[in-house]
Amino acid sequence: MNFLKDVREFLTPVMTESNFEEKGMLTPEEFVVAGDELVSKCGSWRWEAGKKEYRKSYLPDKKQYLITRGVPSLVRASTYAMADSVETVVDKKDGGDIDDEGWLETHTGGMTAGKSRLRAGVGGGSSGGGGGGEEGTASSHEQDLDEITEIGADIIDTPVAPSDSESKKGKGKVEAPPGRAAGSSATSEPAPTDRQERSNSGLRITSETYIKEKQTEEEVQDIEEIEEHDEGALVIIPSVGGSGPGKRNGKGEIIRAVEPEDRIIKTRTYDLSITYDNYHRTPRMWLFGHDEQQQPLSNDGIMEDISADHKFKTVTVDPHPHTNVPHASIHPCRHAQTMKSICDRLSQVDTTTVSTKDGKKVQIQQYLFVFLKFISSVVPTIEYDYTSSV
Amino acid sequence: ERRMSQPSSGCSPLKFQPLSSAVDVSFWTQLSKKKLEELKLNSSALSISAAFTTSHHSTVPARLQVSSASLDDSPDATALGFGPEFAVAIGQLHNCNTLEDFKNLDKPGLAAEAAKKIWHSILSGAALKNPELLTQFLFLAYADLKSHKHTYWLCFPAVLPVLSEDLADKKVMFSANVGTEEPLPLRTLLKSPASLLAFCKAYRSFQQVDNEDTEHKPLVTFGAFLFLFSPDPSRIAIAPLTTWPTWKASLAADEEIILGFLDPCALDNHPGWPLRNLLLLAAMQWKVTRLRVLAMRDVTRLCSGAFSSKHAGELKLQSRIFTIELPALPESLDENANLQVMGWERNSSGKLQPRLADLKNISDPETLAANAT
Repeated sequence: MNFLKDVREFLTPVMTESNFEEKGMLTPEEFVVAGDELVSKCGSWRWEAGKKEYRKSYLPDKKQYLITRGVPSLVRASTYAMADSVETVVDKKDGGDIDDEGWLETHTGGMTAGKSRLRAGVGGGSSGGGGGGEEGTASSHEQDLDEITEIGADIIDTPVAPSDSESKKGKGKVEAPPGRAAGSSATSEPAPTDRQERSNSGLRITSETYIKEKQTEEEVQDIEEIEEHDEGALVIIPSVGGSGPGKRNGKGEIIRAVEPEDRIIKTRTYDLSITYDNYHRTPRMWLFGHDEQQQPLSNDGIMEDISADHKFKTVTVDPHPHTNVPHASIHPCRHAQTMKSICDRLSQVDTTTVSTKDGKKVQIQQYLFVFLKFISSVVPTIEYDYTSSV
Repeated sequence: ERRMSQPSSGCSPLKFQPLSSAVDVSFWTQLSKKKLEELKLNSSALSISAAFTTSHHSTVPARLQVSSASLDDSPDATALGFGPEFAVAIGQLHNCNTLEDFKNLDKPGLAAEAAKKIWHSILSGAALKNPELLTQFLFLAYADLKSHKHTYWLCFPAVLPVLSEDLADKKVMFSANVGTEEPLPLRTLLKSPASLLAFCKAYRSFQQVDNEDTEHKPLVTFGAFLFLFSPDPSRIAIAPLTTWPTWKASLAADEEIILGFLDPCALDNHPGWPLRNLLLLAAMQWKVTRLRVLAMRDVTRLCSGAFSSKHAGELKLQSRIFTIELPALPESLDENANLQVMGWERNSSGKLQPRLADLKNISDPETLAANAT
């Protein structure tokens, strides 16, 4: 399969004349122009050279593909499908088999629901755990500052009770912002009732992953722990069950240390890359996921972050063309068509989501911004950067 | 002595965001290959390298990236696949043959040894010339090649001299303190477009990103530097750490030397781990008790060429200035000082224990075949 693809790509002549406006395709040169613009506007994207043996001659050596690493994904896509989201068929204009292949924007709402479900999931899978222990340490820390020998005196418990988050910026952010939420919104924490209500399918998925992780890690658990007492470390420990909101309140040092931005929740992260596909003459998106512990995600795990409409249809697992490591990829067979219809639509309608400078036509430089915007409907929960922010 | 190291009133201990290892799959496959073909049963320590850069997401911890190229003998950063926005960290890899060996490694001993190296580079001033000596790390690993499971544990040693044998004093750590002031966005310091432009130019020129000579183009960035802040834009400059005495001697009354470092942390009120040893260097070498620190968080954008004089006025920068108080350290501290070392990485349960990477899904040919589409 891959061999065929390689041959096919090899045999396809490199496109030299622009037909971006007519077909929504890019030449390699245009890919570089659009990539340069993306890199300069969005600081998190960068060009990569990749492995020498996989280098494409039609692209500059140091600009073989684009990559952004460690992109957070806070909730699973399945939670979007179930929330009260607004779906928009993006390339309706094409007519035809919309139901099957039209690109759906599915992420216009429901962040709150998603987050609470995620939390509930992680908590449920690990009841007991370290919860009680930390509390003990915390109180002793307060009473007996000079004699602590235990570790973890300054543990900052990541998802904190709502009462904590009232301080400073916290208040505004408790309300989950609509749509693609920025990192800081991760500080919002649902009420306990909310948690229980919503712990259904999201719970199942996250606790399974968690339990599996626990089992494998048991093998290394008889390795001796190291004792370390460090007031200078901002310690983030994973959210573990057995501790309702408010339990960790009133513990002197902990409260003082907790500021809204300290509460980093452990999140999945993705390395996303955009290669140039010479057969389809469009960019192609590749995903490599890491779980909350920075370990590679399984294919099933990655599929949890693909919107239901595209799962197993447009997303496949293939070796990355520049590293040969298996990656999930969004198949580019309809990218050109979709890009053309989006660009046509943008040319006609004045829109606030993508700014079209110089009149109404979408320029080559904006291609990847539009591309990433449309890809975000396939991977609605991965918070990559595609907004121009100079 | 105890009073001296106590934080003054109005200050709270500054907490640093630890580095979190991000080990690429390519590292494990390359290491397994090297083990089978080259190292075999030889388990002596190997020099490896890793890199860190600024983070763009406050929900993701500061990452130290380890990839297949980390194992390359030549520390050639192009091979590393990193770029001019990355700073390099040098590590020692202890690759064990059995899980038992892994268990029996003298971990505190290895950390103490690494701490000693860092401390010596601080005392001798070698770290002023080569700030990467401050960001050394330990990497302990054991691979079960049959099950594709890798047990590993990293340590990013942060060193503090112990001022007294007394436990009570030991508790009062050498720590930097934030004043009542919140960390400032860099823009509040560089208000005018002219001064921001001068800063960007100075930074690019110091990091040599505009170097025409591609042969000598920098492959990675300097992780630490000095920033001369002046109300007069033409005086704004960036220079190596060794410039301190020269600048100090010619500093105007309204000017200030700010310590800069590449910050992998994206949190508003906390700097990242690499600053810890750097502050110890500042306290020991410059005898300062108060210092402003620039946490450089816009490296990618500044290096990518996004910056131009046209845009300088509207450039949104994430970099922040921390005001930090440092303890006055006794002159008597020397090579034989008692050192406290912190920095072992926590695992998924938040414990100071090894992590486990299970690559069955990615490396095992049978699983791969089953998943193939």
